Amino acid sequence: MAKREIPKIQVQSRNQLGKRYAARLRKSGRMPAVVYGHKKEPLHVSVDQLEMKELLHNNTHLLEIVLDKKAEPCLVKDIQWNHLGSVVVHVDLARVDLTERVKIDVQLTLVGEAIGLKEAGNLLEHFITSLPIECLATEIPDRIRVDVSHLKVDESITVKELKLPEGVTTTLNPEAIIAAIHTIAEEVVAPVAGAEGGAEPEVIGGKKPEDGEAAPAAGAKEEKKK
Amino acid sequence: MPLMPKRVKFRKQQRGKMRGVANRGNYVAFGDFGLQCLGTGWLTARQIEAGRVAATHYLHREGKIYLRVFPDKPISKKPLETRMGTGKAEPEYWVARVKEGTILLEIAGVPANVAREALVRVARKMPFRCKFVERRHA
Repeated sequence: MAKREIPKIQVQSRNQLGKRYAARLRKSGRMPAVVYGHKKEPLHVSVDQLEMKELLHNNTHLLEIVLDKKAEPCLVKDIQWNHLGSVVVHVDLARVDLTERVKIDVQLTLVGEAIGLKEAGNLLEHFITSLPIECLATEIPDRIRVDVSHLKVDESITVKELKLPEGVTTTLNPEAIIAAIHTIAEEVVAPVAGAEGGAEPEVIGGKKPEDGEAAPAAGAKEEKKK
Repeated sequence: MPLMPKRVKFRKQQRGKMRGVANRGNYVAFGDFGLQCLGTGWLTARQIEAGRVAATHYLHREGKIYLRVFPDKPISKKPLETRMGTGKAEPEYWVARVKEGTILLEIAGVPANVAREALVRVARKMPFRCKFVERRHA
């Protein structure tokens, strides 16, 4: 495998912690992050939002943080998003040795147009979208592509059929199904009652109406009210 | 039958409050594309069903639809021209509590442009502003 260049990102140390400072940081175009691991003290840093966004957009897992002209390789361990999933609010970076094997989740992408999808009414379901892998830190693929062009109806691709790059292994069950094609069953449409609230659910532990006696009669109660 | 639970512990509920934003159910988990709600409030069983029908109708048996919200809260309503008092009224309809960021519906197995068009039709049936979102990867 050709050696890839590790992207670098400038970080600044931050000593003002808490949500107020973090919010101010985000407003100024930077983002809070934390660097930890390798039995060293955790380090609170800030990174440029746009730079980090671009790296994450390109599925970068390994990067080098530059703090006071010192570079340190790190793995992107966790990403926190806002409630709409549109903005990255925090990143966890784990210190890593470039010669060690690491465990990480990598995106699994389906490529090709499956034969089974040429007929209408068939569906390609993608069950596993990220694959936990183990490999050298420098050899983490940005994504794993799975060719599904040969898939017919009622066929599936399992983890053991994956062609992983050299030196990459997965910890997932080899029989786990990644994607499968099947025919969509005709949807049974339940008859819609004329008015909402026509039927009532059963009350757990509630009194069951005896024979001849109506269920808690709403009508009777309302008549009384009038 | 409208969407509602099969069994409940209590027939009636108090209204409750909805504070904050959705911290769960706020990402596309099953399908490839989803409709994200940008408001907070109650979504009635009728509205959910109307959205589902709109999407199913547009997709013509293609793709799969996942409903991510379920109306499990009974809302009671006094009949017209009734005097106040004499206790809580009977349940009238069911709602799902929806917070800003909640994914309402997901679609799998169709191209992005088809999914977007289907979800736009669903959004028109919703009482909130909605946003088309894609699955976020690791």
